Amino acid sequence: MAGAVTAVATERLEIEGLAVEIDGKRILDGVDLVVPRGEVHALMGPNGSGKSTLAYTVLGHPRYTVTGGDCRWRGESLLGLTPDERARRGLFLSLQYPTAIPGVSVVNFLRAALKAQGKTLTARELLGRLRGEIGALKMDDAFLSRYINDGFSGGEKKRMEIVQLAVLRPALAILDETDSGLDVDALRTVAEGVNRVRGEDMGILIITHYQRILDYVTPDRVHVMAAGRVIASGGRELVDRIEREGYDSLLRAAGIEPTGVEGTPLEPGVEPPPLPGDAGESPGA
Amino acid sequence: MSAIAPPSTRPAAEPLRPPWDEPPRLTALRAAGAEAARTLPWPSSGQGEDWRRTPQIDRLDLGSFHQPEPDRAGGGDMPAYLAAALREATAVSAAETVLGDDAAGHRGSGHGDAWAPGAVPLGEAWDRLPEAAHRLGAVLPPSSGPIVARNTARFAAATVIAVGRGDPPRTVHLVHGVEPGQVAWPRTLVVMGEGTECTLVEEWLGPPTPGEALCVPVTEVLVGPGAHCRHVLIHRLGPEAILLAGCRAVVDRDAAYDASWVWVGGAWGKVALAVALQGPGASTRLSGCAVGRASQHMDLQTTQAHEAPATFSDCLHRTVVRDRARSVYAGLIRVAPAAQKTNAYVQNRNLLLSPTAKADSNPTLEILANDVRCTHGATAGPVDRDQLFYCQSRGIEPQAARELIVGGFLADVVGRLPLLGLRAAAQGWVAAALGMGVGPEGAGAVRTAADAAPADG
Ligand SMILES: Nc1ncnc2c1ncn2[C@@H]1O[C@H](COP(=O)(O)OP(=O)(O)O)[C@@H](O)[C@H]1O
Ligand SMILES: [Mg+2]
Repeated sequence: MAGAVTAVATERLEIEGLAVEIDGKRILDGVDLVVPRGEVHALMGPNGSGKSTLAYTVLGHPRYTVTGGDCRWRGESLLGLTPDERARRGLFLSLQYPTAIPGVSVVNFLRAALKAQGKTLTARELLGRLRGEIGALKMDDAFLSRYINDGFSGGEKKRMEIVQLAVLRPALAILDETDSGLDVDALRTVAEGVNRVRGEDMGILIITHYQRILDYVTPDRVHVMAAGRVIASGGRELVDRIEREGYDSLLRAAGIEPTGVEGTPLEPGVEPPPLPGDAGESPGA
Repeated sequence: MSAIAPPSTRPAAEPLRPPWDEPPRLTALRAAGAEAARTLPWPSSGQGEDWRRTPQIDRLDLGSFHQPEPDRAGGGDMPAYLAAALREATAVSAAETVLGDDAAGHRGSGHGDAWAPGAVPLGEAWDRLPEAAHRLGAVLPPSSGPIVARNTARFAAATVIAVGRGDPPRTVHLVHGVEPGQVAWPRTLVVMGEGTECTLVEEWLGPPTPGEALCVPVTEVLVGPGAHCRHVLIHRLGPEAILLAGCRAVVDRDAAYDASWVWVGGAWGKVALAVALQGPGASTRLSGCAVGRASQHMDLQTTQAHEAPATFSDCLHRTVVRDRARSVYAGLIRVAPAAQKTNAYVQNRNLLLSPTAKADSNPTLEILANDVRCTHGATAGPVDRDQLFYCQSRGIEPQAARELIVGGFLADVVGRLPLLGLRAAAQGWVAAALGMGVGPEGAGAVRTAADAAPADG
C-alpha cells in the first residue's frame, strides 16, 4: 500500500501549505497544488495574486524566502536545492519576462543547458534540432546566433521560451504567462508548440491571465489563485465561469474583497510592466 | 607627496647614444626629449586628476630598471621567448610582417630575414622612407608629457610603418618584449597615405622569468585622408611588470582609426590613448577590455578629441575584475567649437566578480560646439542575479553560468578585434586571466555562418 502511494508521488509536483516572503513581505499564504506528470493544469488568477511568485519559488529563485510548507517533486523536497539542481531533476520555467544575456548566443546557451543536463549532442545534431524547433515556432534561423533574448520583442522572447521547452523536454514545465503579449497568430503558434511537447512524459502548469490559450491547449484541471492562495480548483467549466463573470464571485466566495481593476482579465497584447525588483527587462531596456 | 620626482628617476632622462650613427635630426629629437624630461614634472598621484587613482606611480623608481646596451639590428641573439612569441603572432594574425624589438634593440622577423616594404627599423627608414621617418615626434612631441619625453630620449629600437598611397593593405604584428629588471622603451610610428589600409597589432610581452620589469611604449599614428587604420593593443606582460603606454592618432578627413585592446597582464599600468579627429568626416571606434585578478591595477585613459565638423567617435571599455584587482577608467570626449555635427559616445562597463574588486569610472564630456550628439555612461556591478537564475533554471551550474555570462559580457568587444585568429587567441587569454573555462564563443562553441561576420554595434 505504502509502495503504491510512493509510486504515485514520484511522478508529481506537490505543493503543500507553501508560504513565501519577499523582503519580509508575505506573498504566498499557504498554497496547495498538485500537478502530476502527464497532465496539463491551468493556474489563473488576478494580477498580483502570487502566480509568478509561485513559479519562481518552485524553481528556487533566491529573491523568495520560503517560510512555511513544502514543495516536492517525485517525493523529494525541492527546498534545499539550487535552481540548477531543480532543473536537472526535470523542472523548467518559461519566464513571464525572459532575461536577456548579451553576448551569449541562443545556440551556445542551449548547448550549455543540454550539456549541464547530461544531453551532449554534436554541433550538427544540436543545430539540426534547434533549426527544427525554431522553424516550428515560425522564427528565423538567424535567431540561433543572436544573443539570447537581447533585443528580442516581447513575442519573440515568449517563442524562444517554447523553443527551449521543446529542446530541453523537461518532465515538468511551468509556463508563466507565456501567452500574454502575443497576437492571435503568435498565440496559436505558441499553443501548438505546447501541444507538440504535451504528453505522458510531461506535466505542464500553464499560468495565464487570459483564457484564450486554454481554447487551444485543453487543461485537465484548472486552479484559481488569489491573495497568495489557491481558492478554487475544478475542470474546464471554471474557465468558462471566469470568462463570463470575471474573478469577483470566486473571490467573494473565498472571503476576499475584489479590488476592481485586478479582477478583469487582460486583453491579449497588453503586457503589464515588470514589477520593481523584477530584473527581467522591459521592452526597449 | 612631493611634486618633484625623486633623484633616482633622473638617469632615464639622459639621451641614448647608440653605437650606430644616427641622423642629426634624430639626435636633436633625443636631446629635446631629454630636455623635456628634465623640465616636465614626473607624474604623481597628488597632482591633478590624471594619476589620482594610480598612486603606484609615486613609488616607481625609474633608476632601478636597467636599460641594456643597444645592439645592432639582427635576429641572432633574440631571446627564445620572443622568438616563440613571434611564431605565435604569425599564426594568430596571419600578418604580412612580424617584428620583434626589445630594450636592447634586438630585431627579427617571423618570416625569416625578409622585411616587408613598409615596416622597417627607424635607422633604415631614415634612408628609405625619409618622409615618413621625419614625422617621428610630430604626433607626440617631447613636450606631450614626461613619459613621452623619456621615451623619446631613450628608445633603442623604433619601428616605422609607412603605407604609401596605392600600396596594398598591410598587416603588421609587432611584439615588444622586456627582460627581468630591465626597462624597454618601444617606439612606433605609423604613417598612412591617402586611401590606404593598415592593421597594426602591438603586443607587449615578458619578462620570461620572474622579476620586475618596466615597459614604456609610445606609438604615433598618422591616418591620411580616406585611410583606414586598425590598431590592436595587447597587454600580456608578466605579473610583476609595469606598463606605462602612450598612443595618439591624428585622423585626417574621411579617414578612420579603429583601436581595440585586450589587457590581461602586468602588476599595474596606465595606458593613455588619444585620438584627434582633425579632418571633416573622420571617425574612430575604440573598444576593448581589461581583465584583472589578484592585485592587478589597470588604468586606462581615452581621449576622443573632435577638432573638425561631422566627425564620429565611439568608445567602449569593458572590464572584469576579481580578487583585489582594480580598474580605473577615464574617458574624455572633447568637442572643439568648430566640430559641429559631431557624434560622440563613450561607455564603460565593469563586472565585479568579488566584493574586494574595484572599478572607478569617469567618462567626461567637454563640449564647446552646440550642434552635437554626445552620450556617456558607466556601470559597475556583480554578475546579474536574474541572468544567473535564468541560466540555472536551464540546469546550468552556477560556476558554468558565471563563465557564460562573463564570456558574454566580453563577447562584443572581443568580437570587434579585427583578425579572426586574434579573436580566438584573445578568448584564451581572457579565459586564462579569469581562471575560468573558455567563454561561450571559445573552444567547442558552435559557430553558425552569422558568427563569422564581425559583430558590429
Ligand atoms: N520583487 C518584489 N518585491 C516586492 N513585492 C513583490 C515583488 N515581486 C512581486 N511582489 C508582490 O507580490 C505579489 C504577487 O506578485 P506576482 O507573484 O508577480 O503576482 P502575479 O504573477 O499573480 O501577477 C504582488 O503584490 C507584488 O506586488
Ligand atoms: Mg505574473
